[in-house]
Amino acid sequence: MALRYPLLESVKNEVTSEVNAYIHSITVLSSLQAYLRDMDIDCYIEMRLWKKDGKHKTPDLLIRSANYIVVDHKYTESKNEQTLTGKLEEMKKYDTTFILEDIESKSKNEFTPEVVMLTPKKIVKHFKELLNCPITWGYELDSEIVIKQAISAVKDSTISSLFNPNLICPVAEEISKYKFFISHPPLPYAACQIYNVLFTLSPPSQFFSPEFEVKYDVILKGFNEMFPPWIRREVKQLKVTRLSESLYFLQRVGWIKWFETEKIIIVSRNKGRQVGDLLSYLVDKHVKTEHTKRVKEFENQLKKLKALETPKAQRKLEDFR
Amino acid sequence: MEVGALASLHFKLDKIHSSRNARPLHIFSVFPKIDLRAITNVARDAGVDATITNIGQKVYELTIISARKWRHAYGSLIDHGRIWNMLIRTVESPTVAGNIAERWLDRMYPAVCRSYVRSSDLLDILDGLSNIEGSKLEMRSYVLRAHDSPETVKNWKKDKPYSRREIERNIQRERKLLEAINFIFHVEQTYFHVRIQTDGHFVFYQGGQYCFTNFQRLILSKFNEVALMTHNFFSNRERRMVDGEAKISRIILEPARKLGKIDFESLSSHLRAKYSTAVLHSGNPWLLLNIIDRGDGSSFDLHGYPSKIQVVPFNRASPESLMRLIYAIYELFPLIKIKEKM
Repeated sequence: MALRYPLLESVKNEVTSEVNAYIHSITVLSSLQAYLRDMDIDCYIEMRLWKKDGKHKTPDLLIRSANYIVVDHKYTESKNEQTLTGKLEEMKKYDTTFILEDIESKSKNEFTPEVVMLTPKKIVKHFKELLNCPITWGYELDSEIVIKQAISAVKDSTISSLFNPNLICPVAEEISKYKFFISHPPLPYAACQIYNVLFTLSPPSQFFSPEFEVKYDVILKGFNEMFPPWIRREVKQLKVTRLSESLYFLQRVGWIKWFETEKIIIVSRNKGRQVGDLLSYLVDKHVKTEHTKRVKEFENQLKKLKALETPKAQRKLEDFR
Repeated sequence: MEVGALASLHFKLDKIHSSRNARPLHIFSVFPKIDLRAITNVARDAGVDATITNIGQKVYELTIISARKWRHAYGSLIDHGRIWNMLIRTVESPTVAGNIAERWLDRMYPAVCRSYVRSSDLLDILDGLSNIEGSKLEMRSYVLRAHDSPETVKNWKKDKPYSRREIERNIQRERKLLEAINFIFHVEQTYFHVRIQTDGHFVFYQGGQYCFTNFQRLILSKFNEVALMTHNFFSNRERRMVDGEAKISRIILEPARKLGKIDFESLSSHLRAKYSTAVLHSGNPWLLLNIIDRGDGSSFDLHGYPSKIQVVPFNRASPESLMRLIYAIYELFPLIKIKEKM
C-alpha cells in the first residue's frame, strides 16, 4: 500500500463515521431485537460464538428461528471500493461452523448460519456492484426503521416472510436506556455520554459554584443504575476502561480535572458552556489528536523508508512523491 | 396583627394604583429552590444583589440589583410557600423595572425560576373572568410571537366583546405563541387594567377602588394555582430504580402538524441557545438530542419524530428545568400539546 500523508479531513470523516455507526448500531439493532422478540423470535445482541478451532466471533445480532441467522452491521459513509471490500472480507469470516453452548442443558450445538449484512440502504447499491456480496438488508433510519431485503433473501421462511416488501420496525421504546454495547465505543461519543451524567451528579444546592466535585465510584455506579445492563444481565454498560478513557479525554479538552489517586473529578460549570454541539466539538478535539498521532506515525514510516534502499521501499516513496 | 401585612400591602397598592399618575407595577410568579433567608447570599453568588426586610407574615420588602450597570429596583415579595410573587417598581422608567427584574431572574436561575403556563391557560383565566356576573372584560390587545421574529401586537377593536375563538383562530392561522393579553376588567363598580403573560410576568397599570385586591383575587391567585399545577405535573419525573429496573417517566408532546428535518434543525438550534446539547442524530427526519441544564444538573434525552417529540428525563430532572424546556419547545411549536392530561 502506498504511503499517504494523513489529511485532517479524512481523519475527521473517519471519526464522524465511527460515531454515526455506533449510534446507528444501537438504534437499529436494539429496535430490531425488540421487534423480533415481540414476534416470539429469539435473538441476541453481541453473543459470542465459538468456532471449531477455538477462536470466536461476536456477530452484532444472532437470530434463532428455524435456521441460525448471523446479522452484522456494516456502516460506512464511504463509497471507496477498498473500504467496501474490507467490509465484505469481514463478513466472510462468519461463513463457517460455530458451536453454541446451551447454558442450561450444557449441550453443544453445531451450526452453520445464514449470513446477513445489515447496512444503510443508500450504500447497498455500491455493495451490489462488488463480487461475493452476501445476503444484504438495507435499512433506513427514520422515525421508524425500514429494512429491505436488498440483495438476495434468507432461506428461513419465517424471517424471509417478515420483509414483505419491507420490514417496518419502530425505534425501541426503551432506546433511552441504551448507551453502550459490549464493543468499544468511539471516544467522543463515550465522553459525551459521561459528561452528560456528570452534571446529574452535581450537588443539588450549589447552584452558582464555578465547579463541582464528583466521586469516580459514584459516576460508575450512577451511570450503570441509570443505564442498566440490556444486552445480558452481567454486561454493564459503563466499564472502568471506558470511564477512564473518557475522563482522560475530557481532562485534555479542559472541561474537568481528574485527581486519579483521590478518585475525584472536578467539573467546571463554565468551560464548554459556549460550545454549540458538544458531540461535534468532542469529535473535532479527538480528530486533532488523532491527526497529530497519525502524522507522527507517517513521519516515522517515511524516515524508515528513506533509510531502506530496497526497490519496494523506493516504490512506496515514489507513490508518495 | 401579622396577617394584616398582606392586607395592608394590598390596601396600599389599591390606593397607589387608583391614581391616574400611578407607575406600572411589574409582578412575577416564581418558584424558589432556596430558603428566603438565604436570598442575599445566593444573589451574591449569582453575581447580582438582593436584600429583604420582613414586614409581616409572608410579606417582605425587596430590593434587587441587576448585574448590568447595577441598576436597582424595589418592591415587595409575598411568600406563598412553593411560589413567590415579586412586585417590582423602579426609580427609573416603568419599563426599566421589568427589564431589571427579568435580568435579575435570569441570573438567579435555578435558585429562583420563573413560572410558565400555556396560552390556553391564559385564555382559561379570561374565560373565568368573563363568566363573572355583572362584569365586563374590555380587551385592549394581545401579543403573538414566533421564536424567530418580533412580536405581533393585535389590537382589539374598542367595544368588541372578548372572543376566545377569534384569538385561537389567529393563533392557529399564524402558528404563533400567544404571549400576552392586555385588558381592562370591570367588576363591582370598579376596574383594573393589566397585562398578563405566559411566562408569569404581569404588568399592573391602574384601576379604581380595590383594583389591586381584585386583581390578586381574580387573576394572580388563579395564575399561581395553574402554575403550581404545572409544577406538580413536571415533578417526580426523574429516572428511578424500582425493583432493580430503571423506570422512565417520559413526556410526550404532539405537534399540530408533521414535523420535518427543517423543524428539527430549528429545534436543535433553539435549544442550543439555552442548554448544552449534543446532537446524536439529526435527519430523515429523526432527531436525537442530549440536553444538559448546567444550572441545576438536570439532563434529558429528546427524541423528535414527525408526529411526536419525546422528552426522557435522566436521574436528575427538576420540575423547574422541565417546565423551562417544555416552554422552550412550545415557543417554537406553539400548537404542540402534551399528550398526558395535566
